[in-house]
Amino acid sequence: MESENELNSIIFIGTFLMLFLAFGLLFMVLFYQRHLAKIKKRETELLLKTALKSEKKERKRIAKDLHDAIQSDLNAIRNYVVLFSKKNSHPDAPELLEAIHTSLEQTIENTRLISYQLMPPLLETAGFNLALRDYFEQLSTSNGKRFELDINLAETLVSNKISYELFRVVQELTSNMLKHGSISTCTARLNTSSKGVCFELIDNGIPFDFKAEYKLNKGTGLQNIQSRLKSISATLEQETIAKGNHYKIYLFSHL
Amino acid sequence: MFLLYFVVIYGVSPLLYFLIAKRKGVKELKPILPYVALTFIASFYEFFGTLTFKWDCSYWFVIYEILSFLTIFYFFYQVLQKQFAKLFLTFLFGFITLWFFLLWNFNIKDLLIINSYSHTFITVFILFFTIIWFRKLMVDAYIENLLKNSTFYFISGLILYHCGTVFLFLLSNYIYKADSNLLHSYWMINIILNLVLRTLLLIGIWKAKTN
Repeated sequence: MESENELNSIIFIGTFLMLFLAFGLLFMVLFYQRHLAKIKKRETELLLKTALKSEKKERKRIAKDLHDAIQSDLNAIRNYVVLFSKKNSHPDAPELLEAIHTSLEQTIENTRLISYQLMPPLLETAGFNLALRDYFEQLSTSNGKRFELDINLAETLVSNKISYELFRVVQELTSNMLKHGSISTCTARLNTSSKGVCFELIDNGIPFDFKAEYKLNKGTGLQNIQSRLKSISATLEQETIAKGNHYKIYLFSHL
Repeated sequence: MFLLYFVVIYGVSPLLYFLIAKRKGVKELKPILPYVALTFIASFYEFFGTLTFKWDCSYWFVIYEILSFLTIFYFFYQVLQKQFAKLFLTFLFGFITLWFFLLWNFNIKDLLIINSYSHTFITVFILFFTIIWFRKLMVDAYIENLLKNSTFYFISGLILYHCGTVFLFLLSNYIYKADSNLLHSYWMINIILNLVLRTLLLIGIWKAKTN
């Protein structure tokens, strides 16, 4: 009887200790691995933020260079051409110079456009709302589609800290609409909800499931949107509508 | 008795689920497949051989121990991406030596002694390579969430079952000699931990198929 009790103790204490050891090992690893994964995630986010920041800086520099150096040089050349055309007496010269003048004008316009797309000057000087209004006006004029702002955007302010990333997201979404969506109208709204400041973009084009396409890793543009939203702690939700797409971007940092 | 029948029948579920569910995650499950197949065969054999027809299963248990080591060996070798070849070879050599020693010194009537040595060796092997796998995981940190990883469930099942039953197997011969009925009572530990192991195998396969 005594030996049976002893055996009982050995078996149960031994088994308990071994199981304790196994569970301890598993929990320790689980806990430590989660901790490591968190650190790694934070590191990746930091890297992403740094990359986006340096990209912004670089865009700014290129836009400034294009505007200050190339565009002023082109302007000077245009002036020389105008002067030359007035003084030259060769019969073919005026026609030739007219052609040079036209292509120079086109180059100047293109440089201005590239410079604008790299870094819209209004974004820095007048803020997100006016830059967006200006961008929508330009899109309406150049593409013949209706891009409109539904409300008075001045009522809700978007801080400069996140305006650049949000503007790039809007640019990406609108260029997708124009390229693949066959839209005729697009409306932007900005309002405050319980979930934070909400930016909405509604179009009447071909329906597009953003999350499903993103999961399938289709297009760098979608990944670009997602990384930019992540860097400003914003989320994108999509609502189902009868025709077209309805995107909602929640800016939690504005709560 | 119901629990015993249930666990034996339950043993066929991991392989059945693997075969029935969509043919997804096959590559991820390749390392554990031989062990799952062995569990399936063991369940069949134990159900018909041991429980239904009451055959003498001594030889089967000896073969099972060897196959069990080989399948677990294959599992860790594949999971660790064929690294640590020298360590694997050392353990394999150790296992072969141990079996030569066991077959030389004992006969089939000493099945419980043979199993106690073999089971302890397999437990040490599992503990050793589990620690190596975890260490590799910490250094590389390549898995974002362990709870979504099928290998973690397989390793958890193996380590819990073998650690939990090592004392039982070590003392099984002693208990049997003292009172054979007592061994049946203690065998409940083995049955419960087998249930845990098979459930974790099933969860692991499910994770691989659904992820």
